Amino acid sequence: MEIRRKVQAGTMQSSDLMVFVEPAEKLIIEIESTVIKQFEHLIRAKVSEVLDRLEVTRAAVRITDRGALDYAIEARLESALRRAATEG
Amino acid sequence: MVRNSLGRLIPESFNGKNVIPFSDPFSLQPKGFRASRPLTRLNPGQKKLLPGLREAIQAAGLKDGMTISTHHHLRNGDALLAQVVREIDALGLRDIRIASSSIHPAHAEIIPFIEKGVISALECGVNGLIGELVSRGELSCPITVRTHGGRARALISGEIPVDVAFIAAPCCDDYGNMNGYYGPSACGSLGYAQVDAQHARTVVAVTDNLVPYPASPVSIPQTMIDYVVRIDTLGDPKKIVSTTTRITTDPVGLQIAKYAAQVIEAAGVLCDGFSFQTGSGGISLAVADNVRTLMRSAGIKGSFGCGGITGYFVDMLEEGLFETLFDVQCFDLKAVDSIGRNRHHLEISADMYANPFNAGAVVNRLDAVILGATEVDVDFNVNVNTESNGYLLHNTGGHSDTAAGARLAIIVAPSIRGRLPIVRDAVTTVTTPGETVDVIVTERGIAVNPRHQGLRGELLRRGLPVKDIRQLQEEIYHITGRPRPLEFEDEVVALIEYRDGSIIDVVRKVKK
Amino acid sequence: MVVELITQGDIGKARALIERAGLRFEEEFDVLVGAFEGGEMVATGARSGNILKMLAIAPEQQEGSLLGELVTELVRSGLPLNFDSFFVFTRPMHVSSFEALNFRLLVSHGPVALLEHGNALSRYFAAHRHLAVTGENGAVVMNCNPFTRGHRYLIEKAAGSVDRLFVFVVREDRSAFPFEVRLRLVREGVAHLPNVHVLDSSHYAVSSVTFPAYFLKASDPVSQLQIEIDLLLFARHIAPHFHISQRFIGTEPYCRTTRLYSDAMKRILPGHGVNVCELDRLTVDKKPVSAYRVREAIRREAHETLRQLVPDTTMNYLLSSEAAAIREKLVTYDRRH
Repeated sequence: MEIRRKVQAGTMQSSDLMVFVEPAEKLIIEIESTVIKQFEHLIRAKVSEVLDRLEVTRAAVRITDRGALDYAIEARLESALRRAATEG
Repeated sequence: MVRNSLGRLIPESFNGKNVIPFSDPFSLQPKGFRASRPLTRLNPGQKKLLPGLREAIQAAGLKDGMTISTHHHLRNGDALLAQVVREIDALGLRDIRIASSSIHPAHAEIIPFIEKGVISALECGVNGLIGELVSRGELSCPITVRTHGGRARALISGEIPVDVAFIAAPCCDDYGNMNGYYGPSACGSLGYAQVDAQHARTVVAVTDNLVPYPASPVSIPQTMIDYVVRIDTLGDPKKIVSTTTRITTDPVGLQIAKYAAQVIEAAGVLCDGFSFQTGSGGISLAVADNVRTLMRSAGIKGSFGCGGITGYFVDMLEEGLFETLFDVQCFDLKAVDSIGRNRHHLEISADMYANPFNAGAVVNRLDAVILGATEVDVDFNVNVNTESNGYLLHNTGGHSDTAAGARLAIIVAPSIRGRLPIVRDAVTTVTTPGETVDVIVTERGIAVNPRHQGLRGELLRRGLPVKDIRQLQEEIYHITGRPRPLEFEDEVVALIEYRDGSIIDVVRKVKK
Repeated sequence: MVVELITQGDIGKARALIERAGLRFEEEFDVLVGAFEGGEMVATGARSGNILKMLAIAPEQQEGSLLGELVTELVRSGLPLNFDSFFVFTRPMHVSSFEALNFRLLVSHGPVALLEHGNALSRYFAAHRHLAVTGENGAVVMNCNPFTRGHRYLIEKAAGSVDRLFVFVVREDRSAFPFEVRLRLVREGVAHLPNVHVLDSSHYAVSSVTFPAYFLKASDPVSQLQIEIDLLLFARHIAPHFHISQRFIGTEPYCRTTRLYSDAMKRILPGHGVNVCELDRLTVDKKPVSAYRVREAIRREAHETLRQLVPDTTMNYLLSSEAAAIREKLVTYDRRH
């Protein structure tokens, strides 16, 4: 999947996350989270899994998470990526 | 370093004082006598009224290295502590310790004075940024967190000798009689300050509402007040008490509240003479609402409601569901109004409320208390002091006092908060020992301390979702994933003191 | 639900809520949003560039989720503008509410705390990690509007007394010469000094975030607090990262703001392990060289004077066709910086 434009999905509410995606030369993943100390490994694993599944190899993905569960991370990230892959 | 009975590593001394490791909630015995104040004499015609805080600090003889106190009845609206600290700085005094009843987020304005060395230690717990900066190692200021009862004990036993107490007095006369019922900064009960009035070496009443002699009713009498100061304002009334405290509308919270009320009923304590305490949180109030309905429908007449008092408890008193309210602190406007009006809404001191070292505190007579938690662990230990980032952000309050005193201490909390599971292998910080915690209620299940097999059986018989605490933990971890433990440096930045003065845990500097 | 406030009526309600919260309503904002409950406004907030401000929530709603909703909308509204970070000034008692939204506390000072959302400071450090080498390092923060012989003299002297000198060129684009030009002229002008590294100051030194007053006209009041926050940001974040133990400044004969800044620097930085070293300015015709004099010379087309005030690298640029627009602009430019 090719990332063509800058988009954002999600909110800053508790148990949600905000995802920012934009085109980039390589894959850059940045994660901020209120539970980074407890769950960074799991958040990163889920993000990588979604990126792999959608075959995204070049994009800047920034996540600011407020303790979202895996299914929310997956849904927010996928919707952001799919939107970013369409022409604006 | 030594290990206490809960396996927590604690230093042998902290900020120059020896540390007693916690062993169990009930066996440590006090020694000695109650500390007292020097005798004084005030002859007819002599006056107490001074022109300002600076003069009061000078008259009280405050010197470098001494200890001051304030009370936290004005909570986030309190402007007195910061004004006192500014005056202390202006007088060039340094190395002052603060032994207030609590420090609130609004008091972050004293941070520059900690950096400057005006304030060198906090002999009390903190809420907010000060604790965060200390946890990060960015602010050097040793903290000893105390329970409400434990603070009363520390002052009364002379363990923390307060040199000068500054008591914010919402209604006060020029001879020092005061109450908290009336005036622009009315806060209701002055329960925490009563201890300071009896045990500080010098006591200064500070008011923004000087009334003609005598101020009535008298909560703290003239005989204990050395000086009176009138200032423009004690604080921001809007932040002193909430206008209303509200029942939660969150379905998770309502489910938890329903279970908790059912636990109280099943425990067999809900009969005539029932005594009860909850906090002011949305879930706690929803439990109170359920209990109220149960009491009404069964025609039960309770003996007393206790604690920080909310309008909800006032309604229950006025409805005749309780005979009496024991009020150490008013949480909302309705409680403030009631304490000045209802004969059976009684102001009590922190000593009477929760001190373990006297001839019996009110908490000992509680049937049930509803408490919150940031984390609990499989041994039923509870943490309310440190947050998920490891920072010391909350004071203990009456948590461990009421848990120790009440026949039934119930923890209510959602099973997951922002991905964080409520049940852990071990809590980051032990505030309240598992031995004094009876039931943990979440929307996903109820865990009963194995010490209460009878209650467990009764809950099961009533079809409530009782789970072994490890089973509950695994169910929650299945949804959240297994959290990694926080990492800390070795450096101890704060002690968590149990109510009897032994050290139940410490807070360490958080690893970057 | 949070919506953008457009009508005068709604803006008036927002203003009332902001003032009730003890904040000052400022006319200058890019977007103002609010949330209503039962017809009453219960929360409001604004964004001005990359600064979130005037966030106010009705007292009985402060425990709820409104802050998250407000910040979500304000950050969303800034998305097309390519900001890499958003900043908020608040009272220290509210720091943890913002931290719960993934804001990071940069500085808490007296009645004010500055927090960042978006983590640009970490990215800034990551981008310059190779330069963060231990040693006796020094720093100067300069606007260089444009780069003069005076700047070069100061940098040469400073560079001679430290292992590594970092020159932070103020990124904020409110000067006559655009940032890219100022940065380029500094780089060209110090190319002969191997231990000098010229860096973009990003948001973190003398920017509209830390120090808006510097960019106001001379008559506008300067906030001492603002200056101190700027210096604490340097002392607590920038200096430790780059191992900076010396900060150099030139003696300031003209500008009151710069002098206040220098005085505050001497008061604050030593307590954080940074020495302040004041160097005499280069003089030409018995008067200190300043960018202000340079701009005056450009305005008067006094090329011989100009040649004495700026190095060849800057002179070449000033005479180039690329600078035509700036020469034109300087005729009406009346600011000190």
